[in-house]
Amino acid sequence: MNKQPLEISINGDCYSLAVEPNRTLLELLREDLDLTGAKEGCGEGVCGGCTVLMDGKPVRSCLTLALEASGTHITTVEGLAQKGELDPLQQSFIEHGAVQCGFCTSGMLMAAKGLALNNPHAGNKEIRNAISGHICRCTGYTKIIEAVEAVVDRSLEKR
Amino acid sequence: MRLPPFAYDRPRDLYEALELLNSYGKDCKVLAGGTDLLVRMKQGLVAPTHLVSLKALSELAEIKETGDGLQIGAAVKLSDILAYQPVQDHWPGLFEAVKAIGAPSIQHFSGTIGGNLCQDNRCQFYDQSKFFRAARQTCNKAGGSTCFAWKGGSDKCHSACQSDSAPILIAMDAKVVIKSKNETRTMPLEELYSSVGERPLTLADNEMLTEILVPAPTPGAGTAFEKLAYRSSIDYAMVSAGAFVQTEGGRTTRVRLVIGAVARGPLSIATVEKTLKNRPAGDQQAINEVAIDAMNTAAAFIANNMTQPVEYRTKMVSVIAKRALTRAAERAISQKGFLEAK
Amino acid sequence: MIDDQERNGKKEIMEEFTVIGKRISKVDAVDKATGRALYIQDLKLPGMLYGRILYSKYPHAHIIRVGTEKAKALPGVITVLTGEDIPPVRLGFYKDNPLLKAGKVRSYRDEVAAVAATDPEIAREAISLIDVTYEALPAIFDPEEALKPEAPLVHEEHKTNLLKMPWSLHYGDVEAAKLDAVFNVSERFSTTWVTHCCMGTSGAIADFDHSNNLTVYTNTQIPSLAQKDFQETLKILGVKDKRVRVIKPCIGGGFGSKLDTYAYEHMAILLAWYARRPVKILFEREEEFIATSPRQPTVTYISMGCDKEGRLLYRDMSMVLDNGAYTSWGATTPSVMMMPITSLYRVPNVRYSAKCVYTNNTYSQAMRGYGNPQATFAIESAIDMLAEAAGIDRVEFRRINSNQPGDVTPQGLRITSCGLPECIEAVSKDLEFGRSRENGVGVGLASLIHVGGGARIYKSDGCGTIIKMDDYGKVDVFTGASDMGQGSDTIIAQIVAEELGVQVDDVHVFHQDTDICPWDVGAHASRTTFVAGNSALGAAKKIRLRLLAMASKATGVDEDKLVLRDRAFFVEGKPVLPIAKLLRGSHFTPRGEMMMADNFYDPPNENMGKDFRGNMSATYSFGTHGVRVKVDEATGKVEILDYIAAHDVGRAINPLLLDGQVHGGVLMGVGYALTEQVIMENGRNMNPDFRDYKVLTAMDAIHSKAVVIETIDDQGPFGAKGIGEPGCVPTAPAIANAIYDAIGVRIKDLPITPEKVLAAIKKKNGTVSCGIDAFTQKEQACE
Ligand SMILES: Cc1cc2nc3c(=O)[nH]c(=O)nc-3n(C[C@H](O)[C@H](O)[C@H](O)COP(=O)(O)OP(=O)(O)OC[C@H]3O[C@@H](n4cnc5c(N)ncnc54)[C@H](O)[C@@H]3O)c2cc1C
Ligand code: FES
Ligand code: FES
Repeated sequence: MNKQPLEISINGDCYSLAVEPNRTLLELLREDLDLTGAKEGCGEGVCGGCTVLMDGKPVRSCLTLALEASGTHITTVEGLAQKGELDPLQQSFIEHGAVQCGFCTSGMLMAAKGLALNNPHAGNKEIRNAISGHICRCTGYTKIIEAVEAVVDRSLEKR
Repeated sequence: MRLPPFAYDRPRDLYEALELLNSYGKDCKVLAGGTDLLVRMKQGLVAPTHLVSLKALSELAEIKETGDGLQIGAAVKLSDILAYQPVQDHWPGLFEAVKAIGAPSIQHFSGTIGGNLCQDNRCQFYDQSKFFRAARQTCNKAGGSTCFAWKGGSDKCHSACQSDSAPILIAMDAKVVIKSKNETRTMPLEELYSSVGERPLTLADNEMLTEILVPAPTPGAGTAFEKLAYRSSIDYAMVSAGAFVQTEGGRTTRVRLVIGAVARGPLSIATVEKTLKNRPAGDQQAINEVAIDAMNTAAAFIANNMTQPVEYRTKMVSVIAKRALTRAAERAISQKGFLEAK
Repeated sequence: MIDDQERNGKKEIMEEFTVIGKRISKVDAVDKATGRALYIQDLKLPGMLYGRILYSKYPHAHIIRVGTEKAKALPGVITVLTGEDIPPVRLGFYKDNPLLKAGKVRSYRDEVAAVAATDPEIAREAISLIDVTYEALPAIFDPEEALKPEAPLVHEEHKTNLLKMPWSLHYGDVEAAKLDAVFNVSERFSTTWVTHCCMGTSGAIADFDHSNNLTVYTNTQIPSLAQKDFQETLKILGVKDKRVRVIKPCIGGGFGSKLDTYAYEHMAILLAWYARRPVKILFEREEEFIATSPRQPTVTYISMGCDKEGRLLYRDMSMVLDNGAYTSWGATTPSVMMMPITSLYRVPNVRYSAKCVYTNNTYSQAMRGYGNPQATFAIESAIDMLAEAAGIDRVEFRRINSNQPGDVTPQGLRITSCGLPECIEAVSKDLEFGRSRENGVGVGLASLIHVGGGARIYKSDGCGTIIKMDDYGKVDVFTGASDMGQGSDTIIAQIVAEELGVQVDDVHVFHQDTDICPWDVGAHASRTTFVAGNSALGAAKKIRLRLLAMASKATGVDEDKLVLRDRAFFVEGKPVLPIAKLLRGSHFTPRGEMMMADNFYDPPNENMGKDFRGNMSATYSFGTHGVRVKVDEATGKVEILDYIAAHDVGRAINPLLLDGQVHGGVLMGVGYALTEQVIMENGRNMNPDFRDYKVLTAMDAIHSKAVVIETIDDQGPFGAKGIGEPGCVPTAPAIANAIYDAIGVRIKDLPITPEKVLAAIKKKNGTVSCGIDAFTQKEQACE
């Protein structure tokens, strides 16, 4: 099938690529660009492992055509840390024990980041809602929720 | 899991999009958020040779309140509906229904209302991988001639319409605007559904849903949506219900009840108006009667198309119907929106 | 520093630690939170091919012909293998599972052929091009039916569907005790198929070098045993005396699923062998559901009786377990079930027998708890029933029968430290048992015993550790343990850091590679903290002694005046010599030495004897869970309002990780209790995806409170016992007991789905109608 041009910004880097229409954003990231932080846990939208931010909003990269991301800004877990500084959410996940096997972690972080960007004062229920499309088999979610709450709290303090 | 090959177009305006639909015909599918379509393509259920993306059609991505009510472009994202203040204030039932769809990061930021209304029907025997289906005969929906979801088999497809937004929108008398290259028609949303499992929409191959029109809220009206699922997130409904109740002086003057997830299309309960009209709003005895009617009506349709037992889902129709009607009546009287009511 | 302190009602000496007992982040968390951590999904070798397996179309059938011509002709296909093409590799300890089936298939999961191709999609297509002709045979799916004489045989050569396993014991005299008992219960309970659902699917890469040494990258909990299994496969291929190296990338969850080696691993080896290129097999989610081994269903008959005062007199249990078509460790879970059956609460007379039965279902595996959740569901449900029959409060009943330190149970388990009484207290206080409550709300509790000091299943229950220190005071620890996400690397780093007076950051734990890591029997039975921890502690102690001796020589201060902490030696609170300096000096000197030590620790536990008596574990963990539920009597849905999990952990080496194990275990247990179920229809998995296999989400997640009871076990590293599995053990009975408390119906079959709850309510009320009662016009509970 014919490749089509794709202009895309990923973690702040601009790419001019040519991709096949049936390439998903997840395949583009993992297979073509070696950004393996996003994980395929199901390939059909259910598990949340592949979640990335598209223009600041969490979306499933396994159910997004790479071409549909044309002209957007994509953030993956690799792009969360800025200039060697961990994102407060990453720091909080680490400190709160929100990471066990880690397979769900990047998706969880991206959903949490999406929430923090769009609703920095989210409460417990909103946090749970934001990550409710993500399955974690290890943590029972408790520590993940606490980790996000702590960051939201901090952003409240700053005000 | 890879997608099969296809060609991709991203038209810049509606006209171009309709042109493309017209020329590609049945080999083509509209791609909105893709959260339903791409799963089906990965499973090999549909194999369009062309996808026409709605991504660049800003004219379909607008939600606005007018004197006539709410005008929602077909490509408006679910998250934009949830964030729209008038929806929170005046259409709490719609807010509840959209919120109940899947989960935020699955489709709220990419899935669209048009895609939600136009998603194909579902069945536990059909919505599976090629590998899974290969173990059985081809069913009606897949082009064969049997149905595994209907006890004793059937020559019809008994899949269920799983759209969470359809029941409440129909209950609110929403209309849809359908366009093709040469024609525009506006019709009640319920007419979008054919009640044919194999082909559940009445859209022609060259047609597209462009707009949803929801009537303006009237004083004394209330809406509510109820959904029953094992889990509080991700799950499709086992049973859902959308209810609209119009009151005057504490009495019901107009009412609609639509049951979702049980039949080939959203199921309007016809007797509800007769039973509830002129009764005090929220009258439990009358609502009970209607709920029983709903259960009996649904019983004729519910098939073994989900992993949950048919008998249980049937019985739950009454409970879910009752809860939706009761809450809609409460809202009609209290006149509170979703967020206030919480 | 020595300080007397009251803890848990016991007086004891408390030392002050620098890293033990601290909430320290996992050592691998940064890599995982930044996307750097590599899982099998992320690995690619140059020239690598992609393998795929063809599964059976029938649950039981003769294979007449396997046609591979079309598949072989597909461009990009390098190798196609069928059961006829390969030497007879057999899997599992019972060796009843041929790698590729020839002649006959016994379940839908049976591997019939495999391909290796240059691209995963080509491999998929090639699989679909293989034509297999089958001749269907009658199949059997119900283990109780499978025991009947007329049942079709799954393995003809085995002559019966009953596995020849000796699971039967009788201690004391149950029949006599039955005559003495004043109150009795007798019930049937059942549990269903549930599966591990590791978020990272299974996968392996096999790679031969030019001299036929094999490297396997795989997700395994048992690197050393896997190495042995792979060696055997090589031997059958005629490859002898070659090196097998097992490398574990990051594992996306284990929970028991990776306790054995599986067809996909051996298949990758064979494909790589024939293709002469590296081959990767990676499961998709659907395959993960259908081709990995779930926890087996059980049917349990239990009777139990007590005297007038509520003291347990006997427990009599028999079980039927669905083994599926082949045998893996699932068939040995009765050996662990024996522990709660003989030893949860004091019970003098015990009888137990278990039958593992072949069926044409998928074959089973142990899962978190190794049979304990199934057994405890029956025991703890029945305990509540017996307490009610005896008219004794449920909490009081458990107090009366609680295990105590110093007990020796009928099976010969020697209870050393035991915090069960404290756990029961903590839970009953927190949930206020017995206070009046609103309609539809109830509380329940259940307890557990589990191995906490290893479990001697093999001749060895050991683990090796090598430690070396470099010139800068950094420590490399090579352990046999396997970290699957539970955090054993961190626990080991803490133990070593504490002993050597360095920071956790100074310690690097290697566990990934059999070429550099010592032997270990595997990550099972919650044994890693205890066994690998003790092993690491022993190695660190050796180094510590040498460091002290050297430092004493270098400083002229007596060894017992030197304190090793904060990367230096201290005398009377003042630093006198940094460790790094001492280390550099140690080999930049004539007849210098390197700071290295090794240690092999095998816990002082016993293999079970012929009658299954024996102190299987060096110590035991205890716990009690309490839960408050609300039942929606119209829909049957159960909501969890509060949850408390109290565990006797010996010592919490890292409370942060401990909480994580408990919270995770509890939610897995709640899923087991309420929603999770592999729906098997005549041997076929009907819900092989996360839409229909209901793992709970964050919106369903419960607020669980983890209470830690420290009993400081004499044998444990710094007093710790194992805690990996217990979190999910008593959850289901606690919930079932709470539902009974709430609405007076007892559900005896897992999972407790809304429809079962409704059916039970209906039965209790004798109501016929449902939903809304047409006559009374009231919302009615229904079936
Ligand atoms: C894990 C998971 C859970 C889900 N849970 C739910 C749920 O609980 N409730 C629910 O209702 N849905 C659910 N869905 C389905 C789906 O995500 C939603 O219905 C979503 O709203 C679909 O919108 P979309 O824009 O992504 O549709 P798409 O996938 O883009 O389109 C769906 C279908 O509609 C057609 N279409 C789209 N727009 C138009 C248009 N304007 N005119 C004509 N045809 C059009 C497409 O051609 C396609 O056939 C779930 C999906 C997943 C993967
Ligand atoms: S891989 Fe995309 S949601 Fe599971
Ligand atoms: S940490 Fe393992 S799945 Fe979430």
